[in-house]
Amino acid sequence: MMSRNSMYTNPKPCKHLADYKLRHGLSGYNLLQEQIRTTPSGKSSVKNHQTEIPRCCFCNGYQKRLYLCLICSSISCSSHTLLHSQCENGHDIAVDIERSELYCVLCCDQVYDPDFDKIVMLKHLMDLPRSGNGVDVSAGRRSSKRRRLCSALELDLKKTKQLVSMRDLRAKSCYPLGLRGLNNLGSTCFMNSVLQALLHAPPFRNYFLTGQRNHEVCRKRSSDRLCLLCDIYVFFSAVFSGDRTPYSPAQLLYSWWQHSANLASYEQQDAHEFFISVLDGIHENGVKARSPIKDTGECHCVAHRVFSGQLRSDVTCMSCGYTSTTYDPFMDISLNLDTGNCPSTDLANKSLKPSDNTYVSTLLGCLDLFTKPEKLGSDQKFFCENCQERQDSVKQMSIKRLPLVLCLHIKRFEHFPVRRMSRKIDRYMQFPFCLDMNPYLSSSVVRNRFGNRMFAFEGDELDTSTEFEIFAVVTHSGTLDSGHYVTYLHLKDQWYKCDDAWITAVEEEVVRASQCYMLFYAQKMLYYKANEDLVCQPVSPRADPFLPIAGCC
Amino acid sequence: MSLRNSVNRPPTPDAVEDQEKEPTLQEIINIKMIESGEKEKLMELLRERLVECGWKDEMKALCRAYIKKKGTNNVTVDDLVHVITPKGRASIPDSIKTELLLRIRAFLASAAL
Repeated sequence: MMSRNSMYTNPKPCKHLADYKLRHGLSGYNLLQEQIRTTPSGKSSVKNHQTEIPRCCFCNGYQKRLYLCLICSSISCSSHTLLHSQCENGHDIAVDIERSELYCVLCCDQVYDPDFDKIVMLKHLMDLPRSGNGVDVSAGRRSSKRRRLCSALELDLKKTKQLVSMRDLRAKSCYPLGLRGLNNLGSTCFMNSVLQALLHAPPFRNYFLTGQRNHEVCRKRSSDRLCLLCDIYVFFSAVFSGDRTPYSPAQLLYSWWQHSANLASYEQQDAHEFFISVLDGIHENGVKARSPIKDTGECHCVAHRVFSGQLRSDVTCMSCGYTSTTYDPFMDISLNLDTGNCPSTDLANKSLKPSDNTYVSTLLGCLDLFTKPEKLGSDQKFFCENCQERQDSVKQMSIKRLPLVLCLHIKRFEHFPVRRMSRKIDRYMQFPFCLDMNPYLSSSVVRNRFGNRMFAFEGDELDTSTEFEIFAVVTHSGTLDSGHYVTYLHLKDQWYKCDDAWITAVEEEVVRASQCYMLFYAQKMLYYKANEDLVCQPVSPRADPFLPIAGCC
Repeated sequence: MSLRNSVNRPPTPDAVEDQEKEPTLQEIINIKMIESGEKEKLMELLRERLVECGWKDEMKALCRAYIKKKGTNNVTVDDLVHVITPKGRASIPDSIKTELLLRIRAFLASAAL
């Protein structure tokens, strides 16, 4: 039994299709199944053995769209389908031979039947080379998905509310809690900008504020060694204390230097590199402290629980259609800017000259580029298991599992190792505040490969939320060598500019016009819950906030 | 005499034969290309090129605009085909036409037609 994806509700059959189904059921479909052939690129056609060239039985034409009657198998071209239906009563449903799609002659329109699509897809899957065909028909791992979401909510904030009450509420301004300037300790804006984003990543923030990180009993600290997690905890406490004077995250900087010795200097570093390295540091610290990894094989350190997702990579042999699928985890996604340039010539009707580039890059465009099928060059021929030789192939990326917080990194720094130079790409990129990641999921991408069938691939996840809200933007201005990072935070419907020690409220137009470098999106539900707790009003104090949350793994 | 007449009389025309005139050169080429599998290859190539240069996306956008104008429930596939076919044919880049023509010419040469 295939699960239904809520995004794709099956269209209601027309009266004629319903009648046909009543009278003939699946017999017509089943008879047809044998004749369906699918190309390696995923296109399914009806190929009759007897006649090589299908022709319309009325006009003998073969150049228009041809339709095969499901009842009597006679072929008519698009001009003569109605004629056939008039000649033979009840012969209203046909199949487009070229595309294997249902057509209702009386409605003059394409119609949809999940039963039909299922039969087409099953034939396709049967014909594909065994194993690694790129489509997993089994139901998805829904149980683990539910567990992940629940644990995310647990990281959530009953305790945060209590913590708010215990904090010093000296804040004179009505800025939300957790807004505090960070002093620049010598070209450390790369660190400050990422820290501001991390401070407000909902489950990440809650983890450190609710004392799940029990630093009192941290073994490292007790033996006077550096512990990155403890330093982060101290950092969070300081920022959320209510004190508005700019804070110097010196201890954290020192701690991070210990971890990433190669990046320890007073030179400007790359914010993205810092982000990855901090998460790596948290993971390493966390892994030792925690109990062994559970059944799913996923890491349960806070960095992974919050930021990690899974990418799917499909490499398809262009000769036989065999697809090799691999899954890799990710903590963030690096995107190339979409420039709107196509490899071959521009469209005939476009009056744009090559220099007249008015194409605006957008985040969705970059994501489209990321999930676009890419022809692998002749020097990268893939060894096809089925053909047993190197073949031309096509690669396509998609997102198998979304994280709770999605970090999107825009590749603005181009490095040319041969010429030994690097440059920055200043191109403006438009980004949305609300992001629906559904078209980039593996289920959507794989579905589209086969022409939009009503068929559940990969056990389409029903309870996965694909809607995200932006909460932080790290921007870069200037050149590669001398630039400056600034973070914009989106808290409670207001944008704040965090420029090292200076925090100011700004209009959203400013943010939209900025040159984004890293974008942080949180799952919508988590974002809204997190914003509820940023009120500055005192809450009646309750039990010890350091009480471990039940069910926390 | 009557016997000779019946011998000289042309055979009763068959219904099918009536429709089937002398196949044109275009038809012969087409049939040869289908039989050899070349047509399928050229179709794949054409699809690839049309996607690469953004033609497919443009057609998609035209369809969406038309559907939006008419309303989702008032449009059939046949409508869409009728509406975008002329625009589609007109906007194929010359480079693609040239490439395909060269391929067909090469095929003809190899098939000694």
